[in-house]
Amino acid sequence: MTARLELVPDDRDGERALARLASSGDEAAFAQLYRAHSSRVFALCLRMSGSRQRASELMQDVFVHVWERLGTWRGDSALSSWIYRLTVNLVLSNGRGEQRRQTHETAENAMDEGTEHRSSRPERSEGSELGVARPASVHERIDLERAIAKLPNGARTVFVLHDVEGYQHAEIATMTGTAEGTCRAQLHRARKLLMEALGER
Amino acid sequence: MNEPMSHYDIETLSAFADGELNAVIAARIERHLAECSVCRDSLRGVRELVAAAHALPRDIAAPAEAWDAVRTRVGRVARVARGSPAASRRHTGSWWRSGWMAAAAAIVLVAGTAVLMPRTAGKAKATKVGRPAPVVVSPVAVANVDRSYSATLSELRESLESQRHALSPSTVRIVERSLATIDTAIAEARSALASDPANQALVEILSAHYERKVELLQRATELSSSF
Repeated sequence: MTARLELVPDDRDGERALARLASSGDEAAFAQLYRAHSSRVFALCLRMSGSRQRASELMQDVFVHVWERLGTWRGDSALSSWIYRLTVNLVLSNGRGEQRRQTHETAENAMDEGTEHRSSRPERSEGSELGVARPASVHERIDLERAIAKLPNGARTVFVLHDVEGYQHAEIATMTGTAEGTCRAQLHRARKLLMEALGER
Repeated sequence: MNEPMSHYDIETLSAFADGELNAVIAARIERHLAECSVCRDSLRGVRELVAAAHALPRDIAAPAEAWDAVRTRVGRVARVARGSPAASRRHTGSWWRSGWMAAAAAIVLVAGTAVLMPRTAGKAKATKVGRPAPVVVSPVAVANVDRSYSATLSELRESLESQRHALSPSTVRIVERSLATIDTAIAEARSALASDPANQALVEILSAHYERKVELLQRATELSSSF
């Protein structure tokens, strides 16, 4: 059986139909969901884990979970939000108690191996008012990715979720099981470390 | 204007940039910033960093081989989940359903009942109570199912054999003894079916025995894989 549905952003009915098909075992539908979301899921896993290899493993875990739980998605939120939240929770639960893993390969490999960066602007926009919108060069982006990968786990997690992904501190506190104040402290520490690493101060 | 000798640290300026500080402290920092180019630069750096992070691409292409890995793992999970009737019902028509999954489906069609439920002959008979109209069993279909299971069981057997070194000798003995018991039961059911090929209850019993064997082999394989 071949899914003929096209996944269009904000097309909730299309998402439901596709999810229903995938949930019933339609490979084409599941592959379509994978194609639509894998790059975002991988980016999240990569930045949160700090390791390309680990990110690949985590992404696989995510999609196995997606397949297992797709039937529980009720369509109240966008499927993408449901998948990304599942991703964050899974990466966090895997990261708890785990020693910090090798990080040097992260962004370096992501870029050096010809990994393609695609459509970039998110639906979330908070935080952007802080900065002067200055387009970063590719080199600056690579430097930033590398520096993020080298952050300590806690600081990296909060920085990625807050400054890259746009989650609120309250949401991050819930997801990570820490106090909101701790999240804020981790964020400011992460920014300090990044600025030092990037030679800002 | 003289530059101040002391400066705010990045964490404080970061909190200031996020508007987290109380009005008194924020006012003090604003006054300081008016006089301190170092802290102004630092604050600008924080803001540029946040803007750069926000501008990072949301998508990074996953490794090309990842899809195959996901596909394989989903297929494996489907087999394990197969023991759950709910899971079986949910994932019908799946691409991973080859071999024994197809066989199980065939038995369902032939016997007109769920093959995963009966675990013993007694239970199999019990499930017959209150069942709707009886289904005529085709001996040819039963033979086909038999062959399908054989292939799958061979596959699982090979898999277990390749990993049996990971199991303790006592575990291997228990597995082998259990398999022998099930094989005996399968042989008896097949023998009975040879005499009475249209007996629906016997088909159910046979299928239940096959299921038990598949399940046992799967669990033993999983056990060996976990070491």
